[in-house]
Amino acid sequence: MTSATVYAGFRPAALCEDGGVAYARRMNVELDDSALMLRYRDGDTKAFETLYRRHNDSLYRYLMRLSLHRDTADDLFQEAWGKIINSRQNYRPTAKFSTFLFRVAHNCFIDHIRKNKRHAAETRIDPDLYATSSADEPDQTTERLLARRRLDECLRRIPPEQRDVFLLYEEGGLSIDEIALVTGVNRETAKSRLRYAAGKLKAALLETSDAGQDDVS
Amino acid sequence: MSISGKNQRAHGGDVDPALSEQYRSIATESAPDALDCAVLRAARTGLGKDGTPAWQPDWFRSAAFIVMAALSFALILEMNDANILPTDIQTDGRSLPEGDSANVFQDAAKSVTEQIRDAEETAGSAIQNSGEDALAATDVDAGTDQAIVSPGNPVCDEKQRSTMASWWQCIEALESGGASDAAERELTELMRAFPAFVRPDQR
Repeated sequence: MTSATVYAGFRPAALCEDGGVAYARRMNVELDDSALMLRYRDGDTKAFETLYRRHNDSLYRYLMRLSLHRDTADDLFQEAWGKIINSRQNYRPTAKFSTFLFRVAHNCFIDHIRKNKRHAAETRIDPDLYATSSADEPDQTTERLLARRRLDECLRRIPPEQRDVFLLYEEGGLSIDEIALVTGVNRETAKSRLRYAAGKLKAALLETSDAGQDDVS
Repeated sequence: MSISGKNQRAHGGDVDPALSEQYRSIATESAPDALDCAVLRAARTGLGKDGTPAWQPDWFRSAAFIVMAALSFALILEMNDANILPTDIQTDGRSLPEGDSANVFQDAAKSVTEQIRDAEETAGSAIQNSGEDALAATDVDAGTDQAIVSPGNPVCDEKQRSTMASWWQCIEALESGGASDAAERELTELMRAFPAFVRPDQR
């Protein structure tokens, strides 16, 4: 079992004012995710903060591109972390923590789809997905937004199962076996979905890129 | 370096590295700070749901346990010395476990016990004195017939009570001596002991 010991991604600012907790707290010893989760189970909230900081952005991007809707992604993100928090007493480090985390998030999304069948029938990209920050430079913002819009449009074109597998691969950093475990399919199916998703996405990105260049010229 | 970057190399071949790189260069969003706050707050309050409030320091539980144990121990000792507990629960104070805290409570319990004993002795002597005073006063009023005043002391002795004739003689002596109440009680006793007895003056 590999352990995600990447100790990066800390943002410098502690923006949650009411808690008075310093988020970016570098620990002397780099603990793997499972050890941090076990520490949190024993009452160490700092361990959870470290664990959260390792995975919050990737999980958010996974849910946002899976649902293609900002509010849905927000809800699912909180729901998934809430389940992680509530299940801490029963947590056993039998698998990589990121596999556990993305499996919980995947199941939250599946439950959401079942409850909202309209979402499954027609996925439209939420315009709020590209809400900009006032701090961004206008030129950079426009360029970045266009690129993101192209990416999301390409992701929208591929079937949700393939999109899910691709995002688990890219954002979760999961292997084929782990993706198969998370999505509840066999290894060959997961591998096939990933291959198809990657091929379609590459073609779509190339196509939209060419179209964008034609528009400019 | 992102997690996805590491894994790309770890099990590459399924996805074109150029595609992964392009994806990672575009997909750089972060979770909103409001969500971070909400989740981290939930993580903190989530610990409180187990019964440990966030304001409690780590040592609070053990300190509370020690205090509770000491208070319970002292209470049992006091109840034991006051003979409130059933005999099978009572313990001998001298066989208590030794230790500083045990000795402190043992000494305290002993002092309480001694105070209770002193109070009992004082109260007992006061009761005895008042009883003796009352008896003396009765003696003065009743003259020589102390036995008649005392209901527990029979007027006729066992030898006189052995036969109907001797018991009756005793009763007649009492009547002639003016102790008519005592004579009546003795007659009642006589008739209970000898149902066939008939007073000579009624034969």
